Amino acid sequence: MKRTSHVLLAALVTSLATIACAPANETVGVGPPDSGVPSEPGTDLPGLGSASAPTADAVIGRIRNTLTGVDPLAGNFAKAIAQVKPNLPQMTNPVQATGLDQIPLLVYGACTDAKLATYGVPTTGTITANSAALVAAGMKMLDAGLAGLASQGASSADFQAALQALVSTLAADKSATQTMTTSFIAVCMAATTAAVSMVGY
Amino acid sequence: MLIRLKRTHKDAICHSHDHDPSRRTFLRRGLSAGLATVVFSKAMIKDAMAALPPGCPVPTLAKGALAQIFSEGGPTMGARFIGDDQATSMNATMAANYGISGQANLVSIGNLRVDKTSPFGATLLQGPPGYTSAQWQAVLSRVSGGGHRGQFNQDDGAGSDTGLLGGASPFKSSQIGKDIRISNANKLAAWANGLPSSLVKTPTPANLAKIFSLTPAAGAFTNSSAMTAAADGATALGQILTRVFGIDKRKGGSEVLGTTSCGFYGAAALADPNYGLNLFTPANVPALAGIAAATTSTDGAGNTITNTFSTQELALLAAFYQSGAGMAGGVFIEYFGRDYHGEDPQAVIAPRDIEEARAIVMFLAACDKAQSRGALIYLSNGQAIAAGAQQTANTIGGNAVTLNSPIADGDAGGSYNAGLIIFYDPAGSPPAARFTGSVDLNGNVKIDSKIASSKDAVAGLYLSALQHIGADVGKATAAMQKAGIARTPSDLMLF
Repeated sequence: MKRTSHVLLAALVTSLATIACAPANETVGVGPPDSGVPSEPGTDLPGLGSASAPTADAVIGRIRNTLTGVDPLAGNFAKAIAQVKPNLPQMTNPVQATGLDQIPLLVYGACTDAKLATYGVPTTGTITANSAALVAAGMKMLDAGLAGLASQGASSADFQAALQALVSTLAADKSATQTMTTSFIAVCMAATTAAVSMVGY
Repeated sequence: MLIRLKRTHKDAICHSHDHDPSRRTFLRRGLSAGLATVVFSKAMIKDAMAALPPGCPVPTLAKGALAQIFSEGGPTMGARFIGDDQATSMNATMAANYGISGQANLVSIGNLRVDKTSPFGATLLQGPPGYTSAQWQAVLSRVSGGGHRGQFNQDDGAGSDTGLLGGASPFKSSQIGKDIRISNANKLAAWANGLPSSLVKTPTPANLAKIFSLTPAAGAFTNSSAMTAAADGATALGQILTRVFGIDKRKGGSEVLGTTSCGFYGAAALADPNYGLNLFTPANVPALAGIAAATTSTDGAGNTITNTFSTQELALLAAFYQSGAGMAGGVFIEYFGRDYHGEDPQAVIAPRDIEEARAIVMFLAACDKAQSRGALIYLSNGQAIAAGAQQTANTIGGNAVTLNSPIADGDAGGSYNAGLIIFYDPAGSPPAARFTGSVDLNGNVKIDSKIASSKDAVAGLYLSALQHIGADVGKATAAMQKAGIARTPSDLMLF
């Protein structure tokens, strides 16, 4: 039997808890207009259409939009672009595009340029003690890349739970010593990769 | 009580396996099989284990080298290797049209023939640094070849970019799960579009290592387990986004998410700063270390001759080796500037034929060192007819030689051309492959009616290559048929 990832399990449990704790008159995802929770975008549009893959320039632009203080012309981000760009997707056809696997590598380069202080994340202290700041940083990145969807959409709690699960995994890591820097970069990579390349367009 | 499990998008995308092993199970299977056959550093195995994703394609160390050399332009194809039938009927006119010195200088490599005085033939026969002549002759004795003659005739103009580059992954399993493309710029065959690969423009060990490394190096920024945790996190976020945007219900959505997610897990291995260097620096590869620094070999008379690797050759040797050992998929090289007509035999044609023949030498040496089967596809999108050969002074690996080099006259892909393939079997039983198409006494070719187009010919060459190395021919056939290849594999294949 397939072993369910403990990260996904944690996210599922947290989201179930969120749903269970919601007020009885509130329906997640299709809330009434006065609930303050907007419905998911596009739910009123007919048809499904095709996904598309982000091309190299789109990937670079989206990373710049998602992360504060990174410059595609400077720093590690620029060096990573020089290394990775020829292998990033060159076409939007989602079936034929190659190079999507290279996106996390480029995101990594950009994340090493992002400053913890910019996101209010302490450089010292334990991961557990700073978990709220790390989750908030990830939410801020997702919001920047997804036009506020992460914190304002109906799935906000799920996004937070997924990031919290990641931070908890890092805090509990016994195979390597995780620092605030490695943890911040891991959160940055997860949030940015998702916002840049896991949205279907 | 009914417990309904929610499928993640990873389940939707990456689940193509017949069985569903746990992460530990498939790690144990894949890596123990690999360890039994290929020697890797403990750190590399540890990194690979840390990076392995649940549900993504299972990395497998499956031996078998697959490569392609695509000469873009129109070289003197008749001065490379030819078949028995061409050798038997060789006459002065045919030799002149091919740009070789004639029947007296043709020597056998399996069922193939090369002119031992041509740049191509002399290079193939000299072999790589670090081999004695006897050792290299033993390697050549394990070679056979074949080809489709007649379809590759569009060397100039709008019809020259017809999709002659193929791909191997995922039909060929490997640990990295992707192909290595070197200087590929022309169109891929329709069925090869979207196959996983990484590209380098200039083949050097450092450049190859770079595409399998992090920038900046992991250092204090990350480590393998942090990368895996980040991949888990991104996948969880992707699952939420899938629900929000309905990605799994949209055409191609699963492919985009799956490739990104599975690739992210694979990136964890790159946290080891030596990962790429250990793969593509021959001195760091135990099986290649013995010849990596060699500067001599011996000739047929037992004399020691200068024979050194260029940086490019070292890179190709390592890349071919990793394909053979099962770390990488295929290796696909495109050489530009192969429009030979009117070019100088000594300054241009001979060096370029030597460069390509040396690449083939590296391929065969890599197969020998990996003790793996191999198949190398060798074609161009055209051909130059020759006006005989002329004596030139050149060097092969630093060894000064006098050669008979083709005098390329004009574009004549319609007279003779061929998509060739070389097979290598370490056990000495390469397949008895065929050449399709017939050749007349001028050396001109008439195509086989069953192989009507270059598209068919390329498909046939690849199916033959995949069959020889034990890859998934059925999967490749399905992909080709989906892309419009109508002929049956038995019509297209060479054995």
